[in-house]
Amino acid sequence: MLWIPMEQVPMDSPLTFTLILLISYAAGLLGSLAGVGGGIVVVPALTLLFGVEIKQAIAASIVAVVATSTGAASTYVRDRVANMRLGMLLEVATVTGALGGALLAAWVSARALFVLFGGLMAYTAWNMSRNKRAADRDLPPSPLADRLKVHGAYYDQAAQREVAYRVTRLGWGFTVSGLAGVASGLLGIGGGVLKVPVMNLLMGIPVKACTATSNFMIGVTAAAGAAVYFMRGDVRLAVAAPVALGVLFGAKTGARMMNRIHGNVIRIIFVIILALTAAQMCWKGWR
Amino acid sequence: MKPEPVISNVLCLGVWMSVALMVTGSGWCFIAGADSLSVGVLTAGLALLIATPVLRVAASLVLFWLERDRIYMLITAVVLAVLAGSFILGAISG
Repeated sequence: MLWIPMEQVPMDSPLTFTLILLISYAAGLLGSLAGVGGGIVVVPALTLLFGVEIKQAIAASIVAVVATSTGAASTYVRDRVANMRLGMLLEVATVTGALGGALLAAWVSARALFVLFGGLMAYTAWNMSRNKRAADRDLPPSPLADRLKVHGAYYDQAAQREVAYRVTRLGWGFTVSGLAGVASGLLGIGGGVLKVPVMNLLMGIPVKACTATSNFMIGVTAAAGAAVYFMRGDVRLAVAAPVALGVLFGAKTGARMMNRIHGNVIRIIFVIILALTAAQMCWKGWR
Repeated sequence: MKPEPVISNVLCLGVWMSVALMVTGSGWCFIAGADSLSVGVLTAGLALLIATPVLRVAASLVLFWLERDRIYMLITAVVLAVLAGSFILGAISG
C-alpha cells in the first residue's frame, strides 16, 4: 500500500503534490457527475495515504467542495442543466440550515445523528436504485413553483433532445435542503447526498438536472465554512493547493462529460456514492 | 440580458484566475523554495476560489435587480446576509 508519512516527505515535494492532484482529480470528476462534494474521497485519501491531520484534511475537503461546485457550475449553468432559479431558492434553506447546524453543534450528540442520517441515506439509496422517478407518476401542480418561475428545460446530449420539466413539491425541497444544510453545519457532510434524491424522487426533476443543480448549490454553503477554516489557519496550503487544483480540473472534465452520459449511469454513480456515504456515517456513529 | 451566460462567465473567470495564481504559486515554491511571495500568490489563489461562489451570488443580485425581479432579489439578498452572518459567527467563535 502506498504510504507517505508527512514527516518523511516534505509536502512540497513534486511527487506528493502530483499524487494528491491525481486523487483529487478523480474526486472532482465523480463529485461533479453526482452533485456531491467529493469529501468521501478526499478525506480518507489524505488521512490514510498521506498522513494528513484530520482537521487539515476536513479543511481541504471543504475547499474541495467549493472547487467541485465552482469548476463544474460554469458549464452546468451555461448549458442550463443546472436550474439556477431553483438552486438560488433552495440555497436560502441550505445556508440557513448550515448556520443553524453550526450553532447546534455544541448542544447535540453528533454520534446519534451520524447513525440517523446514515440510516436515512441508506434508505434513500435503496429508493433511488429502484428508479421510481417522480416524472413517471402524476405530479401535483404547484402554483408556487409557477409564481417563482422555477420550471426548467435543457438539451440532453445523450438523449439528443430538449428535456423540459415542471417542478413541484417546493415545500419538500425547501425542508430537505434545510436539513441538508443542518447536516453539513453539524456533521461536516456535504448536502448533495440529501438534495439530489428529494429533487429526483419527489420534485419531478430529471436526475441530470438534480445533480447539476445540487452541484451549483453546494459551493455557496461550503464557501462560508471554507472561509472560516481559512481564517483560522486550518487550510494547509501544501495540501489544499493540490486538492483545489486537481478537483477543479476533475470537475471541469466531469461537467463536460456529464451531458453526454445517459441519465441512468449518473443515477447509478450517485447511488453508489450515497451508499458509501451511508456506510461511512453509520460506522462513524457506532464505533 | 440572460442571467445564465453572465453567471457562467463569473464562475469561469474566478476559476481560471485562481488556477493561474495557484499554479504560479506552487510552481514558484518548487523552483525557488517557499518564500513569502510564492506563499502569498498561492494564498491569494485559494482565497479567490473560496470567494467565487459568494461573488456569484452577488452577481445574481445585480442581475435580478436589472431584471426588476423583486422576489429573487430578496431571495439572493437573504442568502448573502446569512452567508455574511455565518462567516462572522465562525470567525469570532474560532
